[in-house]
Amino acid sequence: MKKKFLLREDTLTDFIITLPGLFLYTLLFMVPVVMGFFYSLTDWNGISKKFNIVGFANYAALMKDTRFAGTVRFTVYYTVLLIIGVVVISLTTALVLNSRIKGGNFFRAVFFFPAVLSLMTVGLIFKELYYRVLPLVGEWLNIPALQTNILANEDLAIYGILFANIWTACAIPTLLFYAGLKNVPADLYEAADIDGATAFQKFRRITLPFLIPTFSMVFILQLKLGLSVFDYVLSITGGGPGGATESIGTIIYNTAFTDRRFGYATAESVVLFLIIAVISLIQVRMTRGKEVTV
Amino acid sequence: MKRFLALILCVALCLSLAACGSGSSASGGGSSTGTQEGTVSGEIEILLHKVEINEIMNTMIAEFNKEYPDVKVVLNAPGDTSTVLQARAVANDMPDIVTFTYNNSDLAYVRDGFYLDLTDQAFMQNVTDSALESNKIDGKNYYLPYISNAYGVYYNVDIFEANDIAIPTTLDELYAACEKLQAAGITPIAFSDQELWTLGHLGDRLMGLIFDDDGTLFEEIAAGEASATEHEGMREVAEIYLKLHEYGQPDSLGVGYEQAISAFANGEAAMMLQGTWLLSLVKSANPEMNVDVFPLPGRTADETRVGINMDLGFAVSESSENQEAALAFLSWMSDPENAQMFADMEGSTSLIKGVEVATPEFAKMSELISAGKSFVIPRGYWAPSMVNELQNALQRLVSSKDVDQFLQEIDEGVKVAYAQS
Repeated sequence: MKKKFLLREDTLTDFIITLPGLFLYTLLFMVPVVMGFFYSLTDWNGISKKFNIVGFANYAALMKDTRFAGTVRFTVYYTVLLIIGVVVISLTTALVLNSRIKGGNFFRAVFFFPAVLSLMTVGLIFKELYYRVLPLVGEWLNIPALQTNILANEDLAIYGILFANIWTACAIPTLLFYAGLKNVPADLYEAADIDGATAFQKFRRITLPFLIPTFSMVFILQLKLGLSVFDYVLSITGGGPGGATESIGTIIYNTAFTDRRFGYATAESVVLFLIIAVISLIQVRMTRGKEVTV
Repeated sequence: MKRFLALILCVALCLSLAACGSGSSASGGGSSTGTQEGTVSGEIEILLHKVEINEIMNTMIAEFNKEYPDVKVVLNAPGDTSTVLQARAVANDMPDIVTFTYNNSDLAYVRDGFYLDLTDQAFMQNVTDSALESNKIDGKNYYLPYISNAYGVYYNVDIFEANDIAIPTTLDELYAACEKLQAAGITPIAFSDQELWTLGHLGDRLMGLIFDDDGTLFEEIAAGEASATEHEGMREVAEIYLKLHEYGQPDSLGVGYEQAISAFANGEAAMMLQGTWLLSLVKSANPEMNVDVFPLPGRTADETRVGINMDLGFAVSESSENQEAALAFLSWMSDPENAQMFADMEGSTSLIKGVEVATPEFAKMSELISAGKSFVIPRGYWAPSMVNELQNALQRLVSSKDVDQFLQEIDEGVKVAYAQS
């Protein structure tokens, strides 16, 4: 009886401890979300004191908006390539670093370096590289597509942004995978060696299951980065040429601050929120139960 | 970036709170003592969008304070004025004086009643008639028009002389000059087609130059009475646009503003099509450069007119508690003597009567403007997001070189832009 009472007091204390966090979360996250949804039902221009509630008219218009559909296609394609690129490169790098090569610490620092740079700076540096250096490389290797600035090419500009993005985005996943690899118990590999397993079998049956939680995390991080890509597009192509690299993030910004259609822009961002929420839910369901717990 | 912006917003808010706090007590005193000069008091805040004239404005304020010692003027030039102004408007905390004018989406501030109607103020008599007329919004003046920018062709005098090229006075002569430069292995024109706004600037200046657009075309397209595909002037603008781009860099779509400026300033390209604001940037990129400007020619020398636009204007906030002090400041600024002092420091064309500006590079354009050969750039007549639609269509035009597709896109863009407004 006495014990039960104590337990309840603990629960109360736990609850009280979470209150400041809950308060901040509600104030800084939940309230804006609700307000944002409200504004998406209006025709507010972002300045005016007066606006009309238009119901779901913004959403209806969005469904027919070909420019917005184009940005959704671009963003999804971009995100898929970003995730594949980041996972493959950072996992490979982590495996190499984990194989006790000489100067491992040095290379760890080198690969982590891009993470400390500001996104805008990286974007502007790459913009200059594509403008001044890459055409020279294209001429030297005799590849016609690279001989002019790739950012001027509607089909290639996306890869210009991706390359810069992957270069910086790989740093933290590499570290995460490296830490994940360190978590795999060495005796499992020894046992597998005794059983005569090949290197691929060891990777497939031992390493991979241990890395599943890391995969989930890297996947969600890159998914979020990819779907909300903004800084790189803005600093490298500005959405051009001809809107070929306009992402959902940049079109939201442009609708709100250039066209001054805040209601419509919030509707766009609600759609982006729904896309991220649905994909994250599916991803969490799919990987649940597949990971190994030590 | 975000954090930086937040910091600026905080500072701006603090400043304005301070302004309101001391202002309310002072304005009470001001109204009881009447409106005589010298007795005006209070604190006013100016939100300035032209960061580059910050120093000049501070000098002007110091001079103003010699005559009005009781008015405290706080100058606030945060950089990202559009966003700051929007936040201030939403928070119901407008600065007393706002200069931001170059973005036509700011018509919204006027139409939502944020600014005072200045039409009947005595000091508006100091402004040139054409500037007053061309800056009317719904028949009234909400800004004190102060200086104007103009759009022209910047050229490298040394390259022109070395290749024996005279200043072109018609479009055909401009093309011929470009041919000559191209034959000599020099890129004739540096474009910055990655930067959407630079595409839009050339586009709407050409629309004004070729068919004197005053907004009717787009209005008629929106009403279903016309179409860009059948409009000869619009087609000609698109053709000229492409023709000029034949003389640009092959990959101009990937070139940013700074990159184009550095190419021009370092002699890699002979010309650049830009507004008066470019001069100081070119000079800081290469102080030794021998640069001059000629007006963007029309089809004939007689048709050549300069596209102008108000670059700096002052509006007074409707909700300002120190309107008297704010109006006194505007009145003082518009005094020809003070406007001359400003012009001597700043160098742009003044919109105040009797002010002479002597920037040698702009002499050829000023000559045309004072001969009445100028037009107000058409974007001010359009629906707010039309500029954006035009810019994007122009960028695709440069990429696809397909005039028909461009004109169709304009038709579609107009319908989108005008449906919203």
